[in-house]
Amino acid sequence: MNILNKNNLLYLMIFIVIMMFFNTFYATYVILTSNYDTRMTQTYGYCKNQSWGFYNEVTKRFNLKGQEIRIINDGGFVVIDPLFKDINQSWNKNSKFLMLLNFQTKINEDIYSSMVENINNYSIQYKFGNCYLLELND
Amino acid sequence: MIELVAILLQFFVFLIIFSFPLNPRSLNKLIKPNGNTLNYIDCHAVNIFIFINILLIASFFNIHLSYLFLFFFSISIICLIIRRKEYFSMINRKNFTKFIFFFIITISIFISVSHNTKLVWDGFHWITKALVFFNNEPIQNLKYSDMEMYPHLGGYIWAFFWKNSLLEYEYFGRLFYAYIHIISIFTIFNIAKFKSENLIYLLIFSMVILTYDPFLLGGYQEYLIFSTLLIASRFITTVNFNKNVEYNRIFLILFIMSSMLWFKDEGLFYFLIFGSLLIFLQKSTLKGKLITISIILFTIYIQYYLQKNIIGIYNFNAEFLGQEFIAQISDLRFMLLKIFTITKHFIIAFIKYPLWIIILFSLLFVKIFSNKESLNLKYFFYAFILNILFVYAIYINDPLEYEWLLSVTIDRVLFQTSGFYASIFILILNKNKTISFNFK
Repeated sequence: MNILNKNNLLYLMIFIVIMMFFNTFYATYVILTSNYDTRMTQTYGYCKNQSWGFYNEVTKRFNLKGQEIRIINDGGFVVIDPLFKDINQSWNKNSKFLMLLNFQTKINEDIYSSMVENINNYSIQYKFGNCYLLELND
Repeated sequence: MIELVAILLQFFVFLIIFSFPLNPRSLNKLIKPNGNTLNYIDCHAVNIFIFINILLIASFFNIHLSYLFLFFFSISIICLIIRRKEYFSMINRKNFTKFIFFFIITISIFISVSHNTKLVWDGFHWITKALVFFNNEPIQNLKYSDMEMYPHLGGYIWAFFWKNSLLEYEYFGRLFYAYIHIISIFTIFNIAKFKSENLIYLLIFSMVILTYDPFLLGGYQEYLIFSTLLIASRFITTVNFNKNVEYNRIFLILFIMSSMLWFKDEGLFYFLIFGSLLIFLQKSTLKGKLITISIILFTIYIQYYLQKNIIGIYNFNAEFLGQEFIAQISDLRFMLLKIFTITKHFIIAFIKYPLWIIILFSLLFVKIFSNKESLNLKYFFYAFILNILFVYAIYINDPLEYEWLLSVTIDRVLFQTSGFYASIFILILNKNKTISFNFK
């Protein structure tokens, strides 16, 4: 049986067209070469935009499960805590943790001189660029 | 590599789970269409809705998602083994090509979702519902999710497949939305009576292109309503409105449509409008019609009752006929301006989702060239009119910021129901003799 007949070649062409339409070849290449964390970081940023990479980093470094975390994205981007099952956003101004993302600074300004409520009661636990994880002082 | 394997595995998990419980023989026996015309794809679609309704019931009992999955998967595998001869007998060149075609399209979309994992706007609200179930929290905790008044079934399905995926990545839950979208398109093309299979493939692919919107796969629930209506419309085409009512068929359609109640608020109105119209046009006694419409109303009441008493919240996104609306309605000039603005956004939405352009031309074609419309076409025509009036009513009812609301929502609201009318186009093509040529 000749599998390379006219009809099969036509189907093959159609399948290739479908895969080209959905950009399947490139998407497969990206999935093969970049893992999920890398792709999520590329999509949402590490410490820019929604800062997925920073969330991911702090969930690995700290045990945040069941903790109250106030999250402020100073860059105005959406807070993406639902993507992390260990992080639950809290509105409590005295929450155990405070995550400050994309902090907008002026010259000589640090987070403690910012307008964030109760910021002086917190100490920095982890920092990357302008993203901070702070813990409430005892 | 493991992620690609997981995506492939997810495809086969869908395929296996939805092969249960009905097979073509049992479905044909159940609804008795003219000849045994319902095939494996139709069964797959109905099985999806049986599955969805079992999940709905399970969602109220706080059953661990992994146990539920194990139950479904093992029972489906057993069923598959028992029916193996039947499945082997279906393997022929035609079915194999169709399966490969379905596989290529579905896997391509799955890979596309995996590549572009981003959740968009409302996706961040809907995921909070999924998280309630993903974390195995009681259903009452939906009160603390975003947009708490919205129904939860879409979120539950998301959580179910998210939890029971190989890698437990969030987007695996959303692959179901892509899967049902493609299944629904394949299902509607079962009504096509063309000689050429290639033409059917071409039209299926065209419809996928016209209705594929990666943005909507970013956590929105629109594909659930779209696919439900598309599948329901496939079974509506089997209804003979000129004959006496066949309740098995009507109840199957209502059963499929009733799932919409639990996807989004609009689903309630679509179920009520399209379901009631279906009953109204049936050839049956007034008593029969009243009883069936009572069943529709009772189903809606059950949803209200469960949402209010079990979950603890029942509300709509907007207030109906609020005081501000009453005050505005007397201002004729303002109302005309509002209607004009809504119409403008209708046109924009039709252009955004060009399936609507095809539907509008099909409706026009039916009205102008068809001497004797079938009642099926009439049903879809009346449904379309009521649908459009309903959408106008939604936005006229909203007194505040309606222009902004229109710009961000009307395209999705219209997209949801577009699938319902796709069958008109196929029914027209079926009647056209030129289509009977061999498209090779």
